[in-house]
Amino acid sequence: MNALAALGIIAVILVAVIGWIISLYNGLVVLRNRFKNAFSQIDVQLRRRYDLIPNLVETAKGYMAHERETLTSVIEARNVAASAAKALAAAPGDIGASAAFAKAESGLAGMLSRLMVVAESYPELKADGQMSRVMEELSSTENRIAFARQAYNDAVTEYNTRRELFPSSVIAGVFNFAPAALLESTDSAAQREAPKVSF
Amino acid sequence: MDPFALQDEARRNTTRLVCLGVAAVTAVVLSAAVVFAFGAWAVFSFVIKEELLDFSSFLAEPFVVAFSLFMSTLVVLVGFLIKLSDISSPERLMTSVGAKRVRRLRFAGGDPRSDAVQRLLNVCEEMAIASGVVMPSVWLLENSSDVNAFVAGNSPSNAALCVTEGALRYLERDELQGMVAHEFGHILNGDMRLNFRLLMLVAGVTAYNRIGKGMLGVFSGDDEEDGGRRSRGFVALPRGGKGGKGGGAVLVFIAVYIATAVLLWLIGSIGVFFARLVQCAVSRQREYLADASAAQFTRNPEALANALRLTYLVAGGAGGSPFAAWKADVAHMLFTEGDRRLFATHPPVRDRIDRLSPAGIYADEELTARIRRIREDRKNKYERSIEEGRNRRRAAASSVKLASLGVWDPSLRAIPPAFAARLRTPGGAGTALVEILRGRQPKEFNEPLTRAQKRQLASRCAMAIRDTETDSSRRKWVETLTEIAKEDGEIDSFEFILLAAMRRYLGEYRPLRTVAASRVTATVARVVSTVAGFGSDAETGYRAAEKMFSLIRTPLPPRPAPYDNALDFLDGLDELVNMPPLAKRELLFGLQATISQDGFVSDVEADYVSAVADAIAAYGWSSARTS
Repeated sequence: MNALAALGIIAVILVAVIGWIISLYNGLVVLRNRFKNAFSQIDVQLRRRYDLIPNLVETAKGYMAHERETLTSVIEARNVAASAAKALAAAPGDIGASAAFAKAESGLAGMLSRLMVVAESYPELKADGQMSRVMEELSSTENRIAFARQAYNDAVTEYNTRRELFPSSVIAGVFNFAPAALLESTDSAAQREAPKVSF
Repeated sequence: MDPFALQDEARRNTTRLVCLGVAAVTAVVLSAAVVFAFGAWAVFSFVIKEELLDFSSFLAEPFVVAFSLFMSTLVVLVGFLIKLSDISSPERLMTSVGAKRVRRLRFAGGDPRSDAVQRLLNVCEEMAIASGVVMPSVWLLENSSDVNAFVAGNSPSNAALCVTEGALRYLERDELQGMVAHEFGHILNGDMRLNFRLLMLVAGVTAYNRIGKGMLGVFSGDDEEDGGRRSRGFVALPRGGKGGKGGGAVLVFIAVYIATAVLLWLIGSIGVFFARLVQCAVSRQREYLADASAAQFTRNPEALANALRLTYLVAGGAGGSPFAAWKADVAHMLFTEGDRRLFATHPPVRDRIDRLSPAGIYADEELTARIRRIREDRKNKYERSIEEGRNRRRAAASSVKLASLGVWDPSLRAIPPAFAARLRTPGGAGTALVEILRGRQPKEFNEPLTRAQKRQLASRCAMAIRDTETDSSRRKWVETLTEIAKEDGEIDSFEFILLAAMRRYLGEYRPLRTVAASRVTATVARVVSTVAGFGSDAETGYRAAEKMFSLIRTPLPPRPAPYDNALDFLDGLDELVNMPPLAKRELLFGLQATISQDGFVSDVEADYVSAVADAIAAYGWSSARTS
């Protein structure tokens, strides 16, 4: 009888411990998926920006006939960034591709802010309804990229913290939850500046 | 500030408070269980066993414990269920407050509003990305110049976010973003569900209070449903069971009954107080949490602080909210609310700003200028809306034709032939009048009678009585109808019409002796003054009539005291019967101007004009003929 009771108690404790381990494991998986999803959001928003730029240039063309050069170089920077993104998507984790992508992205951001500054001297352009809408979309996209990066970093931080804290750290070690890397914020600062040059 | 540390603190405080709330409700349930046990003890002691049982040993019996706990829990559960039936989809809630769903327009014109909506949707999508929450449906509260926002919904994946039009108009983009981020904080933290559960706790405790009140309501003659049923059951019981000694037992029983009711009511009241206290305290903590979340999402606490400063300062230091009726349920989700102390759902705005920004409540030059502009804008808008309403009402009133008041329109086309036939029978007109006076519908009319039709019918019936009855029966009808009119101790406007018509058609014959209108100006003034007294602005109404007068001597004297007695009024009108017909017309036009001056013609005003027309024998004039 006593042995049976002891066995029962042990079984209950065992079930509780296993349940606890499962919940810790699941918690880590949820966090990992969250930051992975956040990462894919960045990609979505970058693509949104590539789609918007031709629209912007098309609208600005009518008013900025003398700035053909600026407009062409914006389009060129956009094309370079888009193809760099494609290359990175084909070979994720490739250091060369990601460096090229980062460079193309910052080049595009620079061209965009130059366009904004130039556009400042065209009052008709500023008054154009279509232009102001495209500008709103563009600055929103810049925000989205920044927010997506930030959400990714927040999610990664939460994941890493949980991963390193006891008792999750044991589970993370056993089941091989690798640490995630934060995004560098070198060009994100430049991107966040872009919408500030508001119309 | 560190948004993460602040969030942790708010979450910890919430947990503590929720534990406190649950403990309070448990205490209420347990004390109510003791009260129920007391009630059961009384029933056993005085009715079933007829001997005083020991209360403490009675309480220890398993059956009693089970029964009282069951009853007590049942009451709380019923309270929960009642609250649960309140639950509604976020869409329903948004529609019920008059918000409109906004969607992205693909081909928007140059409409500045569609630009603002585009900006709002963009801001929301940005925040959805930053917070990782599914994009909620976005709603706009149009024509609200307040700067506010709120969310509804029972889960983060099915939420609705509403922003006032004022927020779109007055907030800069980053401030709007801060405000929307705050609301996203509510969504992500599940505050809507938490608040609903706390309100359920409050409702559960309120159920005791209600039952106690209902039980007491039996004695105060308050016909509350459950209370009434309960008393019949309880009072009948001891009589049946007691026989000879019944009288004393009934008294004891009533005493126990009252004690139970008072105890339940008291426990409920105390419980509600503490439950509300906890609910509001939690709500305040969730505001801090939402602010901290917003700072995390936007990484721009200064913009959020600025939005708060703006709402705070525009409202003159105290927030006002337009959502009075349903506020209890969504107040929690509003962006800002007034500064109330213990039962405030929001912490003081100053405190929130202090947490967000080291500058505190400080308006720089730009903000001060903006606040001044907003105040002026809102003031202008308010005055404009008042002016618009006045003009609209004026336009509506000037289209009021005397014919529509039942004056100058003897041809009541809608009169059914069956009714006309009844008017021709002896006594038919009198009974019809009694029916109308008593507020009943003569059966010959299929549609409900309009007020104007009733006025016309009064004259029509009076004429019919004149034509169909003998002298003696006519007098009897006059007596009967006058009695009915005076029945309630006063003569209302419709009864006055009837008196005027009876005097006109059933009174003794008097030869007409025309007098110049200018000689009865004093009486005219008194009549106009009386009618003007039924409008909203007697003095202006009195003066409005003057413009119509030419035969009647103008200007009218200063407004004389109105008639305070219906019979005096009728005597005065008798004097005016002798005016020339054109002067009568003038008087009626004057009265028309009087009653429509304030932009609204009430039934009472119309009744008196109609009665005056009858009394001065202006009947038969057609407005079409004269204009």
